[in-house]
Amino acid sequence: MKAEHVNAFLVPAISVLKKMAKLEAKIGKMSKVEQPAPPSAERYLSIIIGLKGDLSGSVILSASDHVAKAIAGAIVKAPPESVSEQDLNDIMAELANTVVGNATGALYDIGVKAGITPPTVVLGNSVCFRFDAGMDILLIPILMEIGEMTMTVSLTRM
Amino acid sequence: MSKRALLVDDSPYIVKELARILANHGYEVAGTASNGLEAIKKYREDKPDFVIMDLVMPQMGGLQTLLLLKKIDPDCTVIMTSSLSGKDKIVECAKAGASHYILKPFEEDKVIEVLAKVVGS
Repeated sequence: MKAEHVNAFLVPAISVLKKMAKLEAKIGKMSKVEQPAPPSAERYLSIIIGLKGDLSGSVILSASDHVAKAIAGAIVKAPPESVSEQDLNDIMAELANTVVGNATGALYDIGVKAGITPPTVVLGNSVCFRFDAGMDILLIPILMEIGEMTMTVSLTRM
Repeated sequence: MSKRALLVDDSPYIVKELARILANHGYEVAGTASNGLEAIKKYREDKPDFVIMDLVMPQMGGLQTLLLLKKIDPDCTVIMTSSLSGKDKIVECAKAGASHYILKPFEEDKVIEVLAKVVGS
């Protein structure tokens, strides 16, 4: 997994949260894994954005229900508890779409043409994502005062 | 008379956000659609003054829809929106006949600046 490809996702992860939700965020300690660890039993919301073109793989943005509601509430300037489940899914899907979409611009600037798929929303307790053996997988914690989100970047090994 | 928009995006949140921005600045929403197929139908039914349309949508994407709209009405005004920030996408939309391209996340001032330039206030 090339550092320049990963870097393309880091800046939008922070800048989009700032622009959309007025939230300050920073990148935590990243870790390359064979497969993500089994998740917590807590209910999680995950948004999957597929990558295609010169880069093949996916980006998954995951947050606990509690953190996702806080982010969504910040985006629409409403109390987190007032955000309906449908609105929560829509808003977080758009957040993920915007982060990954913006990353394709940074990729284009380094000569990598990548497109994205519409978002897929997954929610539930103990949801486990498994990736093909030929993928490089990187877990990127995104740290905020309201809690943590994880960006899982999986790219086909080149 | 207020200029009327057709809003096309598979994200209900984005449609609401655009509707809010338009309403704040004296534009009307003629209709909404969540994919290109619906957009073509609504364009014919609602006869908007302009269209604001997302690039990446299920069933039929924005670029394909733009090309179809231009065949139906060569003078239609279509403003593309997307989170895709690569110059190749912007050029592709311009070549297909888009009047402008607004990058997500939206900044209200930027949206209104584009509308004033393309559609008039």
